[in-house]
Amino acid sequence: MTDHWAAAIASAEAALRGDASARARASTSVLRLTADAQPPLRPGLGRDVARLTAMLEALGLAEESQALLRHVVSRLVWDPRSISLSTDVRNELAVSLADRGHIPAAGTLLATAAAFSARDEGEGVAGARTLANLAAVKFRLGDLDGAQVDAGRALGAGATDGSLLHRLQIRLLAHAVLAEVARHHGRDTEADELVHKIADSGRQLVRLLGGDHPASLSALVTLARAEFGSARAAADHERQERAVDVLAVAAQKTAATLGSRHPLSHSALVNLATSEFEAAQASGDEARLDGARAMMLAVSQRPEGEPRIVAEPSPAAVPSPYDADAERQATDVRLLDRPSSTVAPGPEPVDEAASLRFGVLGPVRIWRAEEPPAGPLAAGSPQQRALLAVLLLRGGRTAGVAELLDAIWGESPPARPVATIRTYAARLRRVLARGMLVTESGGYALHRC
Amino acid sequence: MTSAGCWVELHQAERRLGGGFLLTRRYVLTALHCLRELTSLDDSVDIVLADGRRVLGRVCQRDKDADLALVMISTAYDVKLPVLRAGIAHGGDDWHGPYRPAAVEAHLRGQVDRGTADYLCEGGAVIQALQLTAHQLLGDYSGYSGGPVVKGTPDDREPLVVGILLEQAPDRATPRRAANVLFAATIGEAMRRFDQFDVEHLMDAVHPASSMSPRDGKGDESNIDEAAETAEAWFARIEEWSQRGVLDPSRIAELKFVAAKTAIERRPHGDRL
Repeated sequence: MTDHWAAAIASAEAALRGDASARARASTSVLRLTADAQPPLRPGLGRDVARLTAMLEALGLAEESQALLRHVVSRLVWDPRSISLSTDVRNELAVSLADRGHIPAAGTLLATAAAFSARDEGEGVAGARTLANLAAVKFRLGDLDGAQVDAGRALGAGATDGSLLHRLQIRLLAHAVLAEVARHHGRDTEADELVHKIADSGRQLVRLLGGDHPASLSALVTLARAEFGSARAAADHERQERAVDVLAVAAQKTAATLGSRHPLSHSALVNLATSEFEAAQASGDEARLDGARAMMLAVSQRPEGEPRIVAEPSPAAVPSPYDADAERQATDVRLLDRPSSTVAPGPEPVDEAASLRFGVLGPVRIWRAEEPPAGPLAAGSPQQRALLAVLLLRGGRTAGVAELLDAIWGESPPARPVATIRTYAARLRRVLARGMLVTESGGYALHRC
Repeated sequence: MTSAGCWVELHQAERRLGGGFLLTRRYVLTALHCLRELTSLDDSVDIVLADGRRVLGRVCQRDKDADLALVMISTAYDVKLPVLRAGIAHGGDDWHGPYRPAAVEAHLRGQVDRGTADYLCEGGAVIQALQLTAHQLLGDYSGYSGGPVVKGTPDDREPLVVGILLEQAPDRATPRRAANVLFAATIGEAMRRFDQFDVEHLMDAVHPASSMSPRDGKGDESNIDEAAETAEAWFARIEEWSQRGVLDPSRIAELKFVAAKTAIERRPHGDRL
C-alpha cells in the first residue's frame, strides 16, 4: 500500500471512531492518491478500494468516494498495465464499481477476467464467479440473452474448489439473473422454480454467516423481490403485500446495520420502492400510488455522491469474450451490415465494416479480419482507446459527453475536454468504417453498420 | 420529507401510555416501560399518528432486558404517513427528538456524545446505545421515552432515525434530578432484539420453508458462529462486504426500477400509469 492509500484508510477509520480532525485528513489523502497517475497494481487493491469507498460514504465524503472510483476507472480499467491484475482483483474492483453505478467499467474488467479465467485457470470458482458477475452486469445493461448465457455457464462451470460460501454466492447471483430473465420472457413456471433455488441458497448463506452479515441481508432482499415477482405473475395480492412488508423491514435493517449511505442500503431501498410501486399499481389505490411515485422519485434523487443508478433498459449488449477466436481470447464485436445513413465524413475510412474486429481485453485494439492476419490498426492514445472502449461497451447506444468525460478522465479532464473528445472521434473515424461512429443526441455512438 | 410525522403516541382507552415511532408501516417501536400500565391480558393499544388519525395495534413482543417493545399495526388499517429511514449516528452528530409528551413540552435537541457503544441498561442487558447530550436542561426527561432519536436538525432534507430514547443519567450532585445526558438504543440493536426482524424468519415469512426445494450441501460448513455484536461490528461488516468477489444480487432489480422511474417521469400530468 502506498502512503496515500494507507493514510486515507487510517484517517477515514479514525474519523469514524470519533476523531473529528481525521475527516479532513481523509479527504486530503484521497485527493493526493487520485493525483497519482500510475496507481500501484497490487493484490490488495480491490479490497482497499472497497473499504475506503465504504468508509468515505459513511463519513459523508461522497464526492471523495466518487473521485476515488473515477480515478480507478480512468487509471486502471483502461490502462494497459492493468493486464497484470489478477482475476480476483478484477472481480473485486468490478464489484465496487458496479455497486456504485460504473457498469461499463465493471463490464470491461469482467470481460477481461473471463477471458483470462478460461485461458489460464480453467473455469473453477474463479471462472464461475467472473461469469456470474458478467451475467449480472449484462442484465443491468439490458442484455438479457447474454446474461442468461453467462449465468448458465457460471452454474455449469462445475466449480468444486473454493468454499461453500463462494459457491452459494455464485449460485444465488446466477439464479437471481436467470429468474429475472425467465420472468421477463413470461416463463413463469421456470422463474418460480428459480425462486425456490434463490431461497435455498439464501437460507444456507444465513445459516453460514448469521443474519446481520451483509451477504445475508442482500440474500433476503433478493429473495423478497423474486417472491414479489412470482406473486405478481400469479396476481396474488396478499403475497405481494407480504413481500413488500419484508422488503420494508429489510431496507430498515440494512440501513441500521451498514448505514443509510451504503450501496446495499440503497439497493434495498430501490427494491422496496419498485415493489411498492408495482403493488400500488395493482391495488388501484390512487393515494397509495401517488405515495409510491413519490418514493420512486425520492430514491432516484439521492443526495449528490450517493450510489448512482446509471443502467438503462436497453437491448444493448456487453460484448462477450467467448465470441472471440481462441487465439486472441479477445472480445469480438461482429459488425453487421447496415445502411450508412448517418455518415460522418472522414479521410480514408476502411471499406468494409464487417472486416473490423475489436479487442477490449487489455489495451483496446482494432484489427482487420484478413488473411494472413496483420497487426492491429492505430487506435491512438490511451484516452482515444478509452473512448473507443466505452462506445463498444454501449453496444450501439449513445454515450453522452458527460459519461465520456467521466470514463476517460475522471476528475482530471484537460482544459477543453469536449473539443478533445471531438478530436479523438475524428481520428477514430479515420480508421473505422464510414458511418460507424456517429454523433447523435449530444453524444457519440458506434453503430453496427 | 421531514421528521415531523414519524412519531406516534400509544393509548389504551383514553389513557396515554407513551411515545413511539413507525419503524415500517406495520411496526411501531416503543420503550417497554411505556407500557407498564397496560394490563398483561390485553395487548391491544390505540396508536395515534402524528397526523391525528388513530389505528389499532397489538403488542407483539416485549424485551424486558433491553426495555423495548414492538407493536404491530392492525392490517385493517393502512398508514399513509412516510416512514423515516433508519441510519447510524456517530459522535459529534446533531440529533433531535420530534416526539414530545405534550404540546407544552420542549422539543429536545442536542449532540451525539458517543456513537454506537455498549451500555448496561436498567433492564440488565448490555445493549448497543447512543449517549446523547440535550441542550434543554429540564431536570427530568420522563415522558420522552420511546420517542425517536433523529440524526441532524429538524430542517434537514433527509432525516434518519438512529435510536429510541430509553434512559436518562442522574445528576451526580443532585441525584433526584436528571443530568442532560440521555441514552438511546440504536435501531440496529432494537431490530436484533425481535424475531420479527430476524433474517431467517423473514425468509420463512416471504417464502415458507415448506415450499422450498430440498437443501443440498446441508450443514457442511454451518458451524461458523455468528459474529459477536460489539461496538466494532460496523467495521467488521464493512470488512466483510469489502471481501466479496461477487456482485450484490439485490441489484438485479435496478433495471425494473429505472424502467418504472422513466415511466413515472414521462407520465402526462394527472394521468394514472
